[in-house]
Amino acid sequence: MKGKRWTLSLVALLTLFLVVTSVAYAQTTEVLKVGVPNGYTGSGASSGLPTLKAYKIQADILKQHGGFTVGGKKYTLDLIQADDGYTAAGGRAAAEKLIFADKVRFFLGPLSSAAMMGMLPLVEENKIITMTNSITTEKFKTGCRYIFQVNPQGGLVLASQVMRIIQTNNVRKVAAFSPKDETGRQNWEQMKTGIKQVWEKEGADRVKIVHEEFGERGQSDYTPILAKLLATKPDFIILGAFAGEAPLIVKQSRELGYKGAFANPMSPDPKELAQVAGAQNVYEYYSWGIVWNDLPKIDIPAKHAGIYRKLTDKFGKEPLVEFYQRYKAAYNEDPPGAIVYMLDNLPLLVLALEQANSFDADKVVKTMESWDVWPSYYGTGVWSGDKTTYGIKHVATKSSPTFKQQGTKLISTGFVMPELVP
Amino acid sequence: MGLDQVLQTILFCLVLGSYYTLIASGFTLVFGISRIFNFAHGELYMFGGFFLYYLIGMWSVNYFVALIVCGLAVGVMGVVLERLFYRPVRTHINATFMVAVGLLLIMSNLALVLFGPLIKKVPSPFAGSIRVSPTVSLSWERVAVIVGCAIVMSALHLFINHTRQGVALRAVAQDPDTAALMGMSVDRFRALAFFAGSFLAGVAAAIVIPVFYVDPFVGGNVMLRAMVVVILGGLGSIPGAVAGGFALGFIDGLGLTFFGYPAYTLGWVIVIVLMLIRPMGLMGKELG
Repeated sequence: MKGKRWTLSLVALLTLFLVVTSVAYAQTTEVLKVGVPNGYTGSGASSGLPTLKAYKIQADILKQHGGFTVGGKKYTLDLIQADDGYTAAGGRAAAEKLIFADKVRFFLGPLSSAAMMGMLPLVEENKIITMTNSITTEKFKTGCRYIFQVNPQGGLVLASQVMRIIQTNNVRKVAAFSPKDETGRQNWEQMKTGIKQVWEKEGADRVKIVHEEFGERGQSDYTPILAKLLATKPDFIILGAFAGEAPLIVKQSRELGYKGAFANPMSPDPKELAQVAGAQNVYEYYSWGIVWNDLPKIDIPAKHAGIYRKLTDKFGKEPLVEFYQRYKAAYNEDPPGAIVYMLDNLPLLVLALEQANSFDADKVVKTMESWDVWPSYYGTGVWSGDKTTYGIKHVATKSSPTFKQQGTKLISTGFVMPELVP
Repeated sequence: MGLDQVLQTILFCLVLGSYYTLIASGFTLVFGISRIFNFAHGELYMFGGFFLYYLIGMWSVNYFVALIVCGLAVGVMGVVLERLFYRPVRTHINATFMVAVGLLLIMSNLALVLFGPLIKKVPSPFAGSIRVSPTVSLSWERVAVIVGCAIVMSALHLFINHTRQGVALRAVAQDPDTAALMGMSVDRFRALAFFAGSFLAGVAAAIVIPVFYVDPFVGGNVMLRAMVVVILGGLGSIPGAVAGGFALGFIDGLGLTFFGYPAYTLGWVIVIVLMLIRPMGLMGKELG
């Protein structure tokens, strides 16, 4: 009888304990709203939609590892998407919706430089911490401190690929076809540095730029422009960041008899490229991104182990592997390889908020600026840029994976550390 | 510019002209008979593209069967649009305009919901290319666009000029009041015009989409080009659509070759200048 009373008391105490702790947990786990402005329709959809899926996976992983803490309270993330349509007007509209209707103070994105420029005044006025992947350096010219570009300049990443392709494929003539917008022009200028490096090493006669062309995004028939370009008989065509249009450009070039290589710092999904261009037309196609069936081993120097642990504590012991497995399980498809340059956006924001122990934008900016080194999904990264280059030290430089696509198959071509500045 | 490049450019201009003629012919037919600007014509073309994708890409239907089915399906869509949306407001120009714009927005967003935002590639039944000279070639799918345009426009000419329904359509277009007094059901023939115009949109999609791809946003670009063609050639004129289509094809083809991307606006510049000199277009009739 006495034993029975003790047992009942113990069960009652345990039940009370469980109820109290779950209520306490529910009360102290808050939700932080984060905006995800990106292209979810039109030519940007092929990168915007997988990016959103990737952020959702990361937010889930973060939640499973206990979220993050600010001001003694635990937080998880609520992602709120807004379509910028890959245009400046769309970027403005997306930012207005997120800031004024959804009351968001932090952005992951956009990718589009046009959208970034469209929303820039609102970001600056409302002090919105923006972890963007747009590459235009124009965004820093107003002196806005709230923007961090979390990927290197794609053109600079591929510049060393360009040099390698010229040397290994014995390229003599290079032609360029870029979008006529800021992203296209900047990417071409950056990729040209690879050609200039060849000139420095082997002389100006080693390779010639035989044609430079700029075109509209969102068109379907580029054959007249390509016919003019191909009349100069290039061995190598550099696409300055056509995304959704790249498969048609590849297809139409091959139909016109072009057999050389392509390099593109902003590639569409590899499956889409093979499907639209025709798998038989996809060969010697170079870009940057992860090859998921050939994930690299991330080696962290001992001196950076502590910094890297901040990432692994929240996003898994092997963050890249965990992300890939969770994405594949959730969506039954590989993430596009180019997603890797967006993967650091969310973790860096979370780490900065936690370290600043505040949501105040100026404190968060100061915290991020204080980092000499920060953890990345494939190692570590640093901020680069100064008054003479980007205008502000908010542009990521980090080792970046590159690949070659043959048909539907991706072949890793190693990691590249881009130049800090062009 | 070498002779080979000139020849290649001319071939592209012919393909572009055929493409523009195909997409504009249905639009101008509908306007010619019913005096309605069906701005949703581009979206009908887009739906035709998606029907083709599912018929061929997913269900492996024979291409030529799929072509006819696309035309019929989009034709029926056109009749539904006319009966439910345009007919009730036909006598009010402003309301008709608003309905047309509204349908354009609704249909593109409906396609976004139904089919998703990503592009879909329709497998082409015409593989390979024909080599015209050692350095000049044209893919068979582009040859199919030229041949398809010729067949479709010939069939349309025969229908309009040598069938009872075609003669009746012309009568309704010329004078609907007199046609009604003669006992013709004007509403029925306007619905027939919508069916025929939309059928042409579906067939155009079946011929052209395999060359490129389809997504919920192709209709907008298509509609812009169709409007330039129709204004150039003359509103309501089928021969005008052919003339305008090939005129724009050569303007775009030559413009892009010699001037690059600014040539995309050249068509509109020419339209504005033409409107100042000859408002009825190349082959249209004087208005009023």
